[in-house]
Amino acid sequence: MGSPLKKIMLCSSEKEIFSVEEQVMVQHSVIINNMIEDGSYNYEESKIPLDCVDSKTLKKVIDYCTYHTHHHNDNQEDLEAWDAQFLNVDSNGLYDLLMAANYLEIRNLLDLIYRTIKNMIKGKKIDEIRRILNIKDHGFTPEEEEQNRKEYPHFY
Amino acid sequence: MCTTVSPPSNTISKSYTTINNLLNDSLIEIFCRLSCKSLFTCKSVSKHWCAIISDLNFHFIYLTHQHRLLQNLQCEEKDIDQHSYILKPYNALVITSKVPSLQFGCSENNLSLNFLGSKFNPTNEVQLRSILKCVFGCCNGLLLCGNPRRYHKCIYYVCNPLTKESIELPCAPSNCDPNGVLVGFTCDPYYHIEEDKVSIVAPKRLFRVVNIPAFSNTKTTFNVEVFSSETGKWNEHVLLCPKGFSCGFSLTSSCVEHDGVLYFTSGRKILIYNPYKNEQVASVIDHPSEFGEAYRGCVGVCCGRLQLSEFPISRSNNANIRPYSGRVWELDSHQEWQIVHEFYIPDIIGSIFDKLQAIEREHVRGSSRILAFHPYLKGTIFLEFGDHIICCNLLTQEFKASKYGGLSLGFLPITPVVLPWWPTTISSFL
Repeated sequence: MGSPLKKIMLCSSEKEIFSVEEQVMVQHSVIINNMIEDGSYNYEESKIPLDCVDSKTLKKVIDYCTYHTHHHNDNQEDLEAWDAQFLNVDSNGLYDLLMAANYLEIRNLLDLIYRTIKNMIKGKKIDEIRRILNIKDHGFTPEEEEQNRKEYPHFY
Repeated sequence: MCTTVSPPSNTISKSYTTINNLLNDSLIEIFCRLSCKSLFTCKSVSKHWCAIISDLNFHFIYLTHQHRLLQNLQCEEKDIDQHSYILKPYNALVITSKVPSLQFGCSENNLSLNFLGSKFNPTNEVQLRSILKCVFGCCNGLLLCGNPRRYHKCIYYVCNPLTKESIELPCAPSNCDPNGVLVGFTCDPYYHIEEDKVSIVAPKRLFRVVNIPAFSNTKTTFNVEVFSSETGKWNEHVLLCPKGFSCGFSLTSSCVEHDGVLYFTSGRKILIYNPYKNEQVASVIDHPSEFGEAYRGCVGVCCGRLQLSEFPISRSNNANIRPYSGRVWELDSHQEWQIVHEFYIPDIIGSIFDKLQAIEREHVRGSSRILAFHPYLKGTIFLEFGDHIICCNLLTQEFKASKYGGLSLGFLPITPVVLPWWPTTISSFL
């Protein structure tokens, strides 16, 4: 466990640097926890480059980790309400967050995003799913698509 | 020194992130949280999704995930909380699983046999009554349906109510006997779960449909007709049954399946027939000697054991039997019946007993009976009483009552339908 006073530096794909309480990231990110534990992070010089996470996404990830570190004793309902508000982003924003959470191995956040996407799909018809998840290229040939629509009209 | 975290090989610039770029692992995580019904829809969303969902490896991950979820749930909740309902207007009782993969919201409206065509889609009361007994068996999520009428051809359908797949079998060799037919169905599962290990049954999977034209006198040899999925044909066999069996039409004639073996009940006997192994010989077991009236009970399988029940509602010849008391026998490994439960329903359902008994006397005219055994919850039965269906655990005395607003099912045998976690596709048998 890192000391609450220590800060670490994270660097987004735009080379913007974010300074975060070490404890916040260590508690949530498996990758960063491993780096701190095995001593490969140098507090004087290091910044952790996250080339595939843009500033906007990184800021959100840090917000998530910070909130959950400081509010983990809140009641479940309040936390869920905060999470729902937190994930009120468009589908591309959600995918960016997913990629970042996956990359940093933030399991709570990943699980939250998976559940959110699941709820976006559940009980929906195909055209709706494509619209909600912004799937433009479905990859089926026009013949296959027509065949599917004929075979499972109730799915569309 | 500068520490670097190496980026993934395909660094994705922000504006191109879409669900198609997500790693397969992430998609699999999302798909594992969806019901298999949703996943069948998802297969047509994109070719990429279709490839993942169709992959055997995904089925394995999905089933393992469901199994783990179920184990966690079993520690937390009461089993009786599961939702079960009659698949109106047919003689089938859908027993839902606690596993999220099979919770499709208000599923009573989502499962139907309408897709089998107009014959199973009644528009008036007469048609409705004619299809009340159209479900002859359920095995691994596949149903055998049909509506054979006297002197007409016997045509059966094997269907999956979840994926809405179906096939019509060629008509059976003999026309429907005026006294009716006994019909049985068994099919191989799609997967097995044994001691936490999921295995997917290799193709080629098989199914059998068995059709026995009725006869009223006791015979030691008689004809059976067996449809085999691998040949796509019916075969007729002369069945040798040394102990004798009579297969007269009666309301309670029914068939249950367990582990590929069929148990046909007619009169006070049960015919045991294995259509895979020995098509020409069958054995018979008698009901227990103390067994009373069959039509308020049922034959079924609970936790892998054949069970038999009775539920008299009026004082019978045997003065020791109280009305509204029931008994359940189980067939032990020596083929002997043992009483496993004796109960008195007012003791279990308490205050609602009087209300339901009044409804029964006034409207339902005594069709109260035991409908089915729970296939995998020990000591659990489904009871029709008054206008309610009551699921009772006879061991813990817990119960759950829900109103059944459908057409009276009289004493027709009810087929318990348990949907597997991953649907058995009919195409895998062809």
